[in-house]
Amino acid sequence: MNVPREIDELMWEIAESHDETIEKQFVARYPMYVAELDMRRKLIGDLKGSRPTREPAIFVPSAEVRNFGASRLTVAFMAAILVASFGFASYATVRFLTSRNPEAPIVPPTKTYEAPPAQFSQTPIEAEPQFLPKSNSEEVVGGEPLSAQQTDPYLRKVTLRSEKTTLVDVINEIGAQAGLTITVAPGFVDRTIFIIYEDQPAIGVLNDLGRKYGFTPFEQGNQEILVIPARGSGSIKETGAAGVANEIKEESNGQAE
Amino acid sequence: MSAAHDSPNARDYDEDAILVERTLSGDQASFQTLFRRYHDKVFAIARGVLLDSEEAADAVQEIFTLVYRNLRRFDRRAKFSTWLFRIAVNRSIQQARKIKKLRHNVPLSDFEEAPFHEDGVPATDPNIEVAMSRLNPTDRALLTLVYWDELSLQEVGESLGCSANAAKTRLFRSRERFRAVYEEVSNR
Repeated sequence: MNVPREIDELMWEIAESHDETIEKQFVARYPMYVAELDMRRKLIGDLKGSRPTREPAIFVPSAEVRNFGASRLTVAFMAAILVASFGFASYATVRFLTSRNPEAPIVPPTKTYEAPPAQFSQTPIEAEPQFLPKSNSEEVVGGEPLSAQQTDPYLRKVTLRSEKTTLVDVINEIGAQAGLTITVAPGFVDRTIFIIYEDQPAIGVLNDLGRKYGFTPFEQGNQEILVIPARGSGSIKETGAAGVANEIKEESNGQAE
Repeated sequence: MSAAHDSPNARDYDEDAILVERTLSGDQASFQTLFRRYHDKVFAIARGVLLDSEEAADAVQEIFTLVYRNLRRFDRRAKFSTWLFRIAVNRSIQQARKIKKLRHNVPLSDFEEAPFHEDGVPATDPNIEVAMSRLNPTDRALLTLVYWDELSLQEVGESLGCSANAAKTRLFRSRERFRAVYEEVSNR
């Protein structure tokens, strides 16, 4: 029988109360629940009637009381262990995380770029060119000595000035002035150019020339550069350079290289 | 509503407080008075939960031992009886879960020839005890407090550590479960 909740509760209260007046009123209003009410009254009566009794003996405190659960001391001990474990785990986690990103140690500078030996500075590049151009190009004025140049070799300043030289010669000169080892990959198309770059970063000059003449300088690290014939973004430092370089078109009378 | 749900007797409350104070002062006879006063109800709780008279008798002694040893922890602002009943309920439920003693396999024929309760009280309906044995200890404790000890909902709530409204809700559910099991047992 599906009884609405409020009537359900009311019937239980009436079954427990033994109030005849209230019971008559309920039966008059809800005759369909008479049998249900009678059943509940009997159930409650039987339940109360099955109550056991026993004459009390004299109270004698038990020597031992059986322990059916964890004692307070055990619970407190386990709680302390748990808290300590949590604390240690938090400490270990923080230590682990901070150890992965240690503060950079402060290393006093032990090496600085100092001026090269005196004999080198006494022979300015202008007096003794670093290279002998293959062609009949005019001398290429070298740049400032290595001693005065920047820490990053790729950014060392170079000076190139020639009315007629080849692209390969210029690349070699850049390497010589900046202290870089520049390797030109096969397939590189050499050209005759005139060039003016004064005190410009080495990689910037190479990038500039590469955009103009179709090659890409790739920084290999360890002061090495690989020149690949093809345009692209090879240099990490897209450093430009202010300068001029134009190809010289040789005349058809054979003076071209 | 029946008298079972009336307010507790204030005079008993005051007398219990006096007996507790005397016991703490060294008067052992005062505790024996408390023991005799509440033994019946505590036994009913233990018997209803544990379903065995001997187990219940042992439990009663242990319950009063616990009360006697921890009497100084009793908060005098509360009622001694509800504090006692709370210990009795918790202790009995703990013991019942440990023992896990069920009687639902007892054949009904065992009751037909000897319909008397083992405590000497005639069993009006043996299905009652079978149905009780099929309930969980918490349900048995609740029905015992209400129908055997005739505590008010307020007292039941204090004994179970909940509000009167919560006790009412729990009673409703326990009663429904008891009824469902009782009908199942009766219709076999």
